[in-house]
Amino acid sequence: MTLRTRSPAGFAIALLLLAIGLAAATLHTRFGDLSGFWWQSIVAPDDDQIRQIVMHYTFVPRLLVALLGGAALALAGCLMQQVLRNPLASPATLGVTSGAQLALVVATLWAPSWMLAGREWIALAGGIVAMLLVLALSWKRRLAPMVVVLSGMVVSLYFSAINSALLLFHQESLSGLFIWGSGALAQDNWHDSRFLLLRLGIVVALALLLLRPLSLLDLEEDGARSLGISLRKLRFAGLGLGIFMTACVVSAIGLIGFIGLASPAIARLSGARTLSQRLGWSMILGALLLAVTDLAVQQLSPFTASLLPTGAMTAALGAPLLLWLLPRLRVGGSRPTPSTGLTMPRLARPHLRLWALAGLTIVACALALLVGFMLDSHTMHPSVAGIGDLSLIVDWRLPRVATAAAAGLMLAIAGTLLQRMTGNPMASPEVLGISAGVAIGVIALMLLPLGIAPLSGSVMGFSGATVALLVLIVCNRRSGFAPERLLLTGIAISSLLDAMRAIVLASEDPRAQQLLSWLGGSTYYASLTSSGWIVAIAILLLALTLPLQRWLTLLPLGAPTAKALGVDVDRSRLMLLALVALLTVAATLVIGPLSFVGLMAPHMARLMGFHGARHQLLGAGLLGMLVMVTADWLGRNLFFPYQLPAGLIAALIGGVYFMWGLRRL
Amino acid sequence: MPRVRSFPALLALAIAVLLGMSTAQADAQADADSKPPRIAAANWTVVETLIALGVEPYAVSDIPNYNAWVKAPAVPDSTLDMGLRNEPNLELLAQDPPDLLMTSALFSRDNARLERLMPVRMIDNFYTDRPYYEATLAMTREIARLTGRQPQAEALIAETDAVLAHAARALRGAKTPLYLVQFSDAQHVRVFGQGNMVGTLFSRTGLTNAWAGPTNAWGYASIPIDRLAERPEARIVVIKPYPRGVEEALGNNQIWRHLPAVRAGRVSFIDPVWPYGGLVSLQRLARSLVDVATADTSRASSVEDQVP
Repeated sequence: MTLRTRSPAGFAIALLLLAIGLAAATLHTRFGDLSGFWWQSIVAPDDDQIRQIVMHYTFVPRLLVALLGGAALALAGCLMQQVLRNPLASPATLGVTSGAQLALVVATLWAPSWMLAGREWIALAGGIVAMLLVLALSWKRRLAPMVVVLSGMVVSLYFSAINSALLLFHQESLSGLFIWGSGALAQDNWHDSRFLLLRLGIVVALALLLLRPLSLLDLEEDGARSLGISLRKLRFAGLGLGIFMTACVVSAIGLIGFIGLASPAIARLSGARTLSQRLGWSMILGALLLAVTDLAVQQLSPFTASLLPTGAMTAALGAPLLLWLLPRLRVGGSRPTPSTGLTMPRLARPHLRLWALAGLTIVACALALLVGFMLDSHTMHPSVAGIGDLSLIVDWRLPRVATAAAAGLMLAIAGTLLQRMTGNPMASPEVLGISAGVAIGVIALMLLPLGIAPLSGSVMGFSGATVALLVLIVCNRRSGFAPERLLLTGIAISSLLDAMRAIVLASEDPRAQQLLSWLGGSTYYASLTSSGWIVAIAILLLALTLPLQRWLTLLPLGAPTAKALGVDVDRSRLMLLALVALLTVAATLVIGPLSFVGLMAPHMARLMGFHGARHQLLGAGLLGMLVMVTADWLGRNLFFPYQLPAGLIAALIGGVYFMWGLRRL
Repeated sequence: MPRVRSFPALLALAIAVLLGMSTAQADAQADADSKPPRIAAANWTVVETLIALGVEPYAVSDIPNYNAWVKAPAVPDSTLDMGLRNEPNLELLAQDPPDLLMTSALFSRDNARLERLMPVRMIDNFYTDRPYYEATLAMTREIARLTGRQPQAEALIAETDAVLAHAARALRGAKTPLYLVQFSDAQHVRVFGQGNMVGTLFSRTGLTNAWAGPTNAWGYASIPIDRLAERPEARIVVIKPYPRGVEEALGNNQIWRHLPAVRAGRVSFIDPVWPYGGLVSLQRLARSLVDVATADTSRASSVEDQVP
């Protein structure tokens, strides 16, 4: 809280000076030849002087769009934070931006004519859907701030997974959408500036009308209600304005991350108290933040071969910002009882059910091996393979089925370990960002000019997972690993990966397609040898985990109890975390970072009544295999001969499960 | 069917069946030897060359996108679609493996594994340390050698040389430098320079490439469109198709409308051609450029005609 002594003015002036400096530098480097004509170029360019035209239609509108877009997002964030009384709410953290973007992508692909009718309305529809989804997910928890943001970030990651699936099939025709979608602010006319200015003006005017009633929300709810305000209508209006503003920004300049979160937060931390102060300062700070980022990106772009999208850059900067903000904002984190879900009836004989589950998994594997598309003199049709197709089954289906099963098994075990260790029913390697850490390590390797080697890939992946675990521990030690804060940290790491993905995809590197396929978690490259290894590793790690059931039974009781019962808490946690890291790296390298299986399987196992540590491990492992094998089979056959990565399918299934689980968190 | 009671009998039966199967396979192999080899190709450049040499490919990758981006020569109806370019569907290929799979350097991460299914050759005209044209000739000859189409290949090469020579004659008077671009969105283009098909065309004909800046491994640079004003006297040649939404956005794009070339009507749009392709694409591009450069005064009259 050291910032509290200052006023936002100091910070704003510093930003302003930075912006002016960067703008002057950009003017000199890009339009040095026009010096003396700068003013003329801005107000009335000579039609025959292309340089003046370029300055008139690129530099000035781009600066203006950055300022307006930043201010608009800050306004939207401020409104959302006020209405939800949640300092972490913002267009990005509530999933509104990605909802708007997905709606635009879908409309571009399947209803291009709608785009002409008005992009902002399509974006608005997408934003509203995302917002409703988030509200529905967090309704039961009375819109507790952390739960709302958690739901929002999950919705946002889910939408970006759907986006990836679409891009896999439409890379060439969506390449422009990549660049625009990741928030490249490049302008070529004044249309976007006018568009944003008009809408920002309208929304500001409406927000001013709502200012007094909205600021009464600072009072406790009962107080506000006793003043005769219809809270429901007020909230509806405030949120609606915020979503509309976001939709306008997304439809004009694409996905811009975190400005809407950062600027109100900075305004608040640096001393803006009343709502009107916060609104005013947030908009100023938001405008300057986006302008500075964009000018910095323009300064950098001559040094990078590819396009650096400003929006993805803000998202990449925003993830660490969120981590930094978390302990500094007084977020009313309500703690769910760790025993959620333990109310399910205990099974008298879990063995029987385990055997049944094992039988089901074997049947699923057999079907995944036998059923597929068969070639019959130049036509392909679904059918069951016979004895004659033995080599097809053994050589080309078995490795993929085995790899999927092994990855599912390992993720499920890792998820079970995490959930039992933290006493947090929503913990999993994917949700806690450990898988994302692996992926970030591998992408870093790919961007460095070394090529992809399996060994160095696993080394980098392991380092990534370790760093992610360290970040998780450092950021959460003080709060005693409060469940929601832990999850939010993990999701912030995952959204950093999402930003990196956007930057790589916008770079037009042809390897992007390969990366997309790996990030999606394709089993395509599995061979008999590699799948043999991965199965062996999975069995080995399972064998290492099973004897630890004493720790797993005692740790959920809490550190003091466990200690009293003779568990060396620190050592056991460290060993379990190392095991989690190993399991996650091995699984993520073959199935990609976003499958949600590690979350789903332990959860489902508990719902099915497997409560003892050993039974939950085995049950979750079997369920993980079942889900991944099914996802892989769907991916191979839904659009035959085109193949969807198994991890992506599992994420699309698992995301729904996660949202459903959130509702009951 | 009588029940087989003893294990040895069962074993014998199994061996008999297996033997029968393998003889059947050997027969099929013998049949295949007399037929032309069945080729699967993942790389569109190889696909266009195969079809140009008169080979009907057994299976190729991503036919819908080939039709949009490479366009010609057309893929025969009998050819199978084997999925995305970087992931040829192995379940499909395994059921009736082709005699040869041609992959490209970019998608060849697991050739060793594919070898177990069928012979695999990496055939590419990029990543070869050789200039584009030389590499493309070598690629064409190698494809011809593998498919027994050497005479057709030599004919294709001779034809290409003739097309290039004709283009050089037709373009002798053309002084206007050209930007050859493909839109990636409404504000950015890939402009083609040295080290690819476009570079070859410029050096073989008298044309001047207006883009002299650096290019990447595929011979293009991604630039904002305002840099197309750096040579105000140049003509802009746009290779279609546009990515989604670009055509509409260009109408509002003030930079585009104010580019000297656009204002003077020196913009041409040519049919889709694969700028990373082989000799057929090279010929098509050469013909398109001749059309564009020789017909410029008659066709382009006003800006409005040229802005889509």
